[in-house]
Amino acid sequence: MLAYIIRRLLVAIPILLLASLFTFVMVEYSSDPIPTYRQQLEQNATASGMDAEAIDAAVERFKERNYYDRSTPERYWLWLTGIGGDGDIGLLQGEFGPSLRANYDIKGQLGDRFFITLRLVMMAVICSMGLAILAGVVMAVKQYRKIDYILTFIGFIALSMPVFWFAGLVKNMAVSYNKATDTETFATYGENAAGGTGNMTTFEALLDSASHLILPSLVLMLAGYASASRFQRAAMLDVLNSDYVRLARAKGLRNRTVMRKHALRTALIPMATLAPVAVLGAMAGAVVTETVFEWQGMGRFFVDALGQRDPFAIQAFLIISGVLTIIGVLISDLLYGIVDPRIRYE
Amino acid sequence: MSSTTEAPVDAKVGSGDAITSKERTQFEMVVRRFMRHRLAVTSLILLVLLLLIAFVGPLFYKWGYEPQPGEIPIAKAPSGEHWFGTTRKAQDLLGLIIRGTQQSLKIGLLVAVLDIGIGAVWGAVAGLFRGWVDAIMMRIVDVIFVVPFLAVVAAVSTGINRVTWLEIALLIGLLGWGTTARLVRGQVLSLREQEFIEAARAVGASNTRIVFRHLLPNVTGIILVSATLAIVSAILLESALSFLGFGIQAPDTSLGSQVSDGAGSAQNKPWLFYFPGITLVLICLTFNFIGDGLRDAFDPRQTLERK
Repeated sequence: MLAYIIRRLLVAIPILLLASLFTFVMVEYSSDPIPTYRQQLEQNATASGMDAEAIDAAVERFKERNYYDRSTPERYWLWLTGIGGDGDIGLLQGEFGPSLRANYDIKGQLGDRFFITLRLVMMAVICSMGLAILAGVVMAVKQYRKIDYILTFIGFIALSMPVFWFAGLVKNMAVSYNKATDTETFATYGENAAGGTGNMTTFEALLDSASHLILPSLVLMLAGYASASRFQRAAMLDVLNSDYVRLARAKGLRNRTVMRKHALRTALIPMATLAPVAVLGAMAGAVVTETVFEWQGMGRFFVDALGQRDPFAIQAFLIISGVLTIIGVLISDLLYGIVDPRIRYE
Repeated sequence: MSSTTEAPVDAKVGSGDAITSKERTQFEMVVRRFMRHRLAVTSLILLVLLLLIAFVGPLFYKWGYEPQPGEIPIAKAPSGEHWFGTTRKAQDLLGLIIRGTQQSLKIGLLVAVLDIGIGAVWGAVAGLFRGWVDAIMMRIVDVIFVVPFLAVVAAVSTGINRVTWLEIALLIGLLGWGTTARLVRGQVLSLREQEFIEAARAVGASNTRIVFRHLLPNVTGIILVSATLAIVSAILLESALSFLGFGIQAPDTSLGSQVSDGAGSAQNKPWLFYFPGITLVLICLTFNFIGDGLRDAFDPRQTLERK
């Protein structure tokens, strides 16, 4: 098992390198910040009193600070290793590179935001998996009955629902409810109360976080639920039609015992392997959800970076997503081996 | 759909309605099974309607998607003159939605073509050759998988000045065929061990012929289902991009940017938020149900006994 993990991680390294090179080149060729910067300076030239020479000098300084005085391969190498940089760049040294935005610390921002997003994603995935297991089992047990068709239809609607529209819908309903009851039952803005949680007791802060968490995680649940419930239904149907379940019934076990002890435990195997992948899906969904609910998480970080055309910030998000994907898929494969004794890793 | 010759004959005998006097081709069977899936058939009709509305509708509907200040009132509720109401920029909402539907359908269909064209062939070739060819090809798929899809498309499309539907569709299509490639490869790995491939080899068929005449026709079902899923995810991805402001931008329009414009005033001008959103859900729903119908229709274990 350990050898398997190590081998998988070793295989992952060249894949990550290639993927990062690919995204680096894509980002590189799609956004060049130099002309934008020069344009800004030229527009403000009269106000700031800069002549052409001063602008040139400023652009040169800007290039040097952001390593744009080097060629693309050099910059990729620098971004990866940090050799020859000013100590603010180099993935291997734990640095993501300088931001084009003034006083914007990419590493610090990511550190703060990662756990905000993680909170949202974990909540959404746990709820969606729980709901999907429940719905999947009900659908399988009542196959081709009314409840199966209704739940299937709901699943298809969930599958067809754009996250951003559903988010808007939920937010809209919550606002209506708040207005109608003249309360602040649902928080629709930010991950915490606007004033921060500094002057609250721990309990109040927890309550505040929870009330802010409800709606976004409800939205984020949707996408994961849709596919997971279909998987669960298929897995449960497979198991219910298998010989050992028939045997368990034949030897006179009660239906509930058969369901709980024999069928469900086996039918949960695909769920265990789906969960890490669902986390990744939710991470992607968080980009939109955080935008709608104004959360300051990773997704928002990426949207801001794109809006500002901040190459190293974009790159930082992409590489973190890539690493998480590889880890997620690896965990999913390993879980498969743990929960399913028929599978062995060498 | 030329999968009449190479399919194992047993598949036909085994299915539920083998007791008929006339032999049916596999294509006929597929059509019959598809027709049994009521929601899928309804969706297919709905899709044809949507296509008509999107591409023929503009010829008959009075208003386009361009703003016409003076001509069109600002932010008025639906009426006889403007069926879906008007926007704050003096546009007719139905005109906008027709245009948006057009964009979504064009993107979805082009992505499906690319998904089948690249993904299916890639998977079939990798599965047929195995060995180091397979290893290299599938590592490339791994690399594409690691690259976060939404993120890269967003990053690149911000760099393009005024992104059109074509560029977005090409980006999504060229990066999104990994799933299909994996599915097809998996199937081909088991197909290639069967006798009919061996027979084809024995009579001297070339690799190209084996891939296109023997392997791909036998995975038609999987490819088609995978393509419908690709269509849905492409449409959702484009609309999400446009919603975030990184996709299709004014003066052109997309359902995603329409939702984004309407989201702020969902309380007092609900039509601006609900009509584009519901259209989007409807489009995706039709493709999902058609995909489900195709899955049932191509599943050889599926019998006609299902209600």
